[in-house]
Amino acid sequence: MVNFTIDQIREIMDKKTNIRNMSVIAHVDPGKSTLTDSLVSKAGIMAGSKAGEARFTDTRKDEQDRCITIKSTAISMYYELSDKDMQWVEGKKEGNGFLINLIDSPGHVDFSSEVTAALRVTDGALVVVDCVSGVCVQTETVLRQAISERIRPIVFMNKMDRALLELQLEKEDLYQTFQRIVESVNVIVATYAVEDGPMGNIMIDPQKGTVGFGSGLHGWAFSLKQFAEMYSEKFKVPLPKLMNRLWGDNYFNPSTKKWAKSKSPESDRGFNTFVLTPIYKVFDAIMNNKTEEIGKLMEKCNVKLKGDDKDKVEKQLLKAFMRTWLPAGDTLLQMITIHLPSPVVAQKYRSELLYEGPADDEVATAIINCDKGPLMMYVSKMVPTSDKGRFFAFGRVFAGTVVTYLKTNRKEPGTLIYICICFMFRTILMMGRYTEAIEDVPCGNICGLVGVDNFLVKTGTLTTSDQAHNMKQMKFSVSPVVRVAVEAKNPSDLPKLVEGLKRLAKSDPMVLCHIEESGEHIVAGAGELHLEICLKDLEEDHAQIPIKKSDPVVSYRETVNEASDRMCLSKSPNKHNRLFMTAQPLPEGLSEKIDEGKDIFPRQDAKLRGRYLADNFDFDVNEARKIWCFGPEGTGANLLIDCTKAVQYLNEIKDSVVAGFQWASKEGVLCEENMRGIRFNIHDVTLHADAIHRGGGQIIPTARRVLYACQLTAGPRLLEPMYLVQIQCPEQAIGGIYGVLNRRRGQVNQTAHNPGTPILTVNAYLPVNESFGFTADLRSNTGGQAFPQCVFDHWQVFNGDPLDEGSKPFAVVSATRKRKGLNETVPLLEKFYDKL
Amino acid sequence: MASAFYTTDKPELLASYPQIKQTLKAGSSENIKEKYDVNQCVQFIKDNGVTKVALQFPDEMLNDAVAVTEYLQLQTDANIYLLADTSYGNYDVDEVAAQHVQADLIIHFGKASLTSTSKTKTLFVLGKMNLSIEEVVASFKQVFPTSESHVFIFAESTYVHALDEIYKQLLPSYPNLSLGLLKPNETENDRTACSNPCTECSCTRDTEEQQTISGHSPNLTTSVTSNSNENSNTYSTSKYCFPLNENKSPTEYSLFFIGSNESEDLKMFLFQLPTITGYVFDPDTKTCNSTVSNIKRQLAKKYYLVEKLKDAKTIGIVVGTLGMAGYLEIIEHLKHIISLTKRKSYTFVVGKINPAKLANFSEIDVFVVVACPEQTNLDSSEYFKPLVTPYEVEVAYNANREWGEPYVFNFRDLLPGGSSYVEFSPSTEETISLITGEIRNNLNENINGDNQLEVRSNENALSVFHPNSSVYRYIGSTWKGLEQKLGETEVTLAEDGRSGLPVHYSSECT
Repeated sequence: MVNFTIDQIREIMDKKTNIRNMSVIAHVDPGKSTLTDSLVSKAGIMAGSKAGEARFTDTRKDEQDRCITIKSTAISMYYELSDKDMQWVEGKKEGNGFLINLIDSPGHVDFSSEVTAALRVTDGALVVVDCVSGVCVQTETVLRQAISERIRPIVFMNKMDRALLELQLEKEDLYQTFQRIVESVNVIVATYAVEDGPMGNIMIDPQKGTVGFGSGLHGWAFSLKQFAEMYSEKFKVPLPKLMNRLWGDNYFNPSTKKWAKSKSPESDRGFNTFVLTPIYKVFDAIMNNKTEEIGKLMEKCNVKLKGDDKDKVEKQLLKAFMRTWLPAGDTLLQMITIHLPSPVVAQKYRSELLYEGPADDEVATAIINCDKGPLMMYVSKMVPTSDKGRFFAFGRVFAGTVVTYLKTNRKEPGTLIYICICFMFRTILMMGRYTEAIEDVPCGNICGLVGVDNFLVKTGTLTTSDQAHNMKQMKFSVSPVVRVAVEAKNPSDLPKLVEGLKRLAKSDPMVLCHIEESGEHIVAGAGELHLEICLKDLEEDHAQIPIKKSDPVVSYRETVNEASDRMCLSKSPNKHNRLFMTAQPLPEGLSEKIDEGKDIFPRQDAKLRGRYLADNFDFDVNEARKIWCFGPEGTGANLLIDCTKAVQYLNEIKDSVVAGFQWASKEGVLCEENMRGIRFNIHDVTLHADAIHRGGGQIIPTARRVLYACQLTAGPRLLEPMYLVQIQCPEQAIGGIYGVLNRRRGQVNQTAHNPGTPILTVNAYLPVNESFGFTADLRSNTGGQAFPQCVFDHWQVFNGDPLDEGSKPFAVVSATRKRKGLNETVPLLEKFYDKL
Repeated sequence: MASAFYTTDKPELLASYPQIKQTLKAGSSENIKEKYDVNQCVQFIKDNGVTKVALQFPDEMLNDAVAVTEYLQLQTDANIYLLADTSYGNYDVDEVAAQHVQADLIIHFGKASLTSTSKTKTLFVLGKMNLSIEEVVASFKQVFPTSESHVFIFAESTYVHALDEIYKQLLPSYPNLSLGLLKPNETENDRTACSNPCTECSCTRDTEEQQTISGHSPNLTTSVTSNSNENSNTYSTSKYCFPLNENKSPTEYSLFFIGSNESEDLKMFLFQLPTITGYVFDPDTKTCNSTVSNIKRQLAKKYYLVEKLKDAKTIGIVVGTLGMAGYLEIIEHLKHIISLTKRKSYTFVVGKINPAKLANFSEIDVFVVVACPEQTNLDSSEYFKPLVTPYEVEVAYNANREWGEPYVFNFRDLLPGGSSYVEFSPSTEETISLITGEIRNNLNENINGDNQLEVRSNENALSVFHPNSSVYRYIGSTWKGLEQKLGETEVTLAEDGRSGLPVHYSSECT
């Protein structure tokens, strides 16, 4: 059945120029998994007749049931290119055999993290576009991600069968549709990639063969190359030239047999004449049961049907015919092998984006050359095994070779110190639903590892060199903002729940599981669907205990909106020490800069940072240099600044004040949420002359109290997370959308027409708090015509004073405090503020 | 300074014990004799022929102390000493203070943990608070209309005196009632623990004889004992002991508790049987409410602490008792298992525990409190670093110990020979922490790893740092201690410093 053996694969693994690592990416529902089937069947892993229906890469039961891909799935395939096609492959090559490591990724925005993980380990991307609905929001998102990771894209226009059978588009209309898609993809490419960038020109162009057309469901596909091959001998025109003629403004006049650049009444576009006409003829003949014609066409197209296929009619016959005539697998594999880069090519320009260390050390050189050297492997995700609680670590070998029983080091993110030594027990190949053991895997390949799962949380770098730096962490386009609290129905199941949460945290690149001090177990995901899937996995696979889940919980941030109205003083428990501080909001935009961590970050040189803050945010240079720390966790967007002048013993209590600051900024006074965007100034400090009376015990709780007092006197406010919502809908549905957004405190900031379509794109901000059930609400109000995509965008001040009873933030604060098991009213200022 | 070390500030005290004011009023009347069972104390002193007696009162009963002392002084020949303050807590017998006067007998008044002391004889006087038996019976009948109900009935220690009567009145109509008795002492297990040769405790075998609880009428105890013999089936929590009906499990029972909703006794009971529901009769408000149980949440909070412990590298053992038998063994036991998990422990004796004292040791990740059951269950939200119980340490580090029922508050049960003892085996699993989201370092690997070698391989190093010792935190801190700065400071004339009380120095204007 399988037309290759593991030995064959192992052999090809060493021929790095003949490897293609690629992912299939797209919007939700244009048929990625279906298309992938064609490739899988081509490799003989599944029967050709099943292709298009089985969705081989949807390995989970719920994926099959819901017809949606949830996890990305990898599969390795061996494929031989004919000699004729080999000349198309640029650069070095060794033999006709190719190894294709393919990852099928999910399209729903909630699972974008899976796409990110897939892109990291691949060099090329097959972007699938539904030719009926065109380029969607998510297509743009994944394409942007791909380009920023320096992944070369090729495009496939899927669902042509629908365009022909259901929409009955005219040839020219269909051409225009294709042309528009090509243009919009290129617009995106042009926006995010430089033309002479390291990858070279990555614009897609049907004339070059980087665009494919077809139907994954019916299992047929072509690029202009296929048709050009059919005609090139007949016309005695070299292939590349003919391919150029088959696209764009090249018109063929059948009577004069001449090509022209402009249309005349007799002539027709080359694409229409030579590509679409035969296809239309086949469709017409088969769907209308014109038996005679079918026979002729079969002869013409050199299609010979076997066995059962002969007796089929209409759609089934059409499928069989097209599949034999233009087999999707061949077309796609040609596109992939010819146009996508090999690891040798790709790692040259990707290395600087992947490796944190200097570009000229041993490791970096090995990565750039994709060569022997110290092992560098990036694990991009964990794949559950049949063995409960264990995972395959799935990733890409960038340098060196992974060998079974190799001793490697795991790198702790952010540090140079390697923490522990682990043994890899087994190296495996991922084959969709199956795995195959393999002795070793050289660089440039994608593989799975057994036995390292205990040493990694979700992702990480594995290396044999103790000098190596980390591979860069992936940046996700979505963030986990939708949270629920889960609870074991039976309290004695608590350890199982915790164990399950840990497994869940590993199994998904995005999901966050943690315990809060209040004892709540929080699961945070990118969206409602994502969470639903995670909780289902938790209950059924990871924890296997009955679970109660709360309503979605939104995490807020605490901030201030003015400077403290007085100097705040707190005395230590022994009354011998006093801290004088104030709070004020950080200048606009600074919090975001701190989040970004590019221009301003904790470990920066104080002078550089001071300069930057003074230049860009009007800080006093002297104060800006005396930033004691960031918080919470030493990295958050709150600052503690020393504004004192010549205070005795101040350096002695610094550690204690910083500890108090980390504590307070992690649990703000309003409802113990993180603080954000607050600047605390230390103005004066009086300390006891004896060191014993100004120790941590006196200072830490006092620092916390005075910070709370500062927060309370500076106009405390809540910040709520906001989604950026993109909604695509037909014009007539716009009223319903506005209605729903208004009811949910949404703000529309842009409405744009998609040129050439009756589709509108609405951009709006929506509080995450109001987003639960938004999709359903929107659908019911627009007759199911509007589809929103929500992505976390920014934090916004929740209008109203949270201390003012009756205001909305007040209700939020009370509810949050109640959920956390705190006293429901915010503590009074008197508790923190001491009189002199 | 000494008083500041031992007692809490008055306002703080009043805030934390709202019931104190009320008690103060009630105590001033003539019923002191009755309330404190003074005559029985006299009897006990005479029977045992002791000469030096130490009286220990909880803070809220201290105002009656003078009257009681005077009465006892008059009635007996013994020297009566009043321990004016408790160094650890109200529940715990302050044996050390009593030894200052070499007392033969300690009489402990008020709520008590009833844990045995290691050396001195102790008489527990739980005190008798007024309780209207009719009202309790009436509300019981109201909330349990069917006579078939299986109910655990028990009371806060100050109301135990009335329990006997209530039980008698209810028993005819409720045959399945199960009366919770205060366990006077650890029994069999206790002895084995103490006879263990490797422990150093001077605890004698006849601990039981040393202790007496006043308040239980003897006939009641016997009647129940015989009862429990028939059934041979009891359910016992850390403090109470309930006879069980045959083929009934404790989970099938309901609960009726007499006392405050906030009572530690109730909390501890619920921790051990979290699924139970029932009613609480509050004698102060004379109302009967169903137990609003947030116990699941509290258990989850405890489990958070277990996770925190697994993350911790440096652990502080805080000694919260110097009287309870077995406290030395448990400290040794804790030290032992902590060191087996390659963590570092430090032991602290700070007297009464408060946030300011413990925050002085910011290098410590988690504090384990070794104290009597009522005082280990502390709310650590105000503390800089969390406080945990010895049981939680065991759950975190001992692979053999299962989390869940029963929750062990009394550390003696964790010791070899204790009712919940399980052999220690270090858990080797290496998992991610749900608090930080990072992989927990495999501490076993760490200690032999190159990481350490780098640090200590410098020349002539005499001592080897424990990898988790606080020294590493010290190295990371910005302030490393006083600098002499010899010759760098200018010589100046001495100036007047501040004077007056720190709350308001004389140099300050108001």
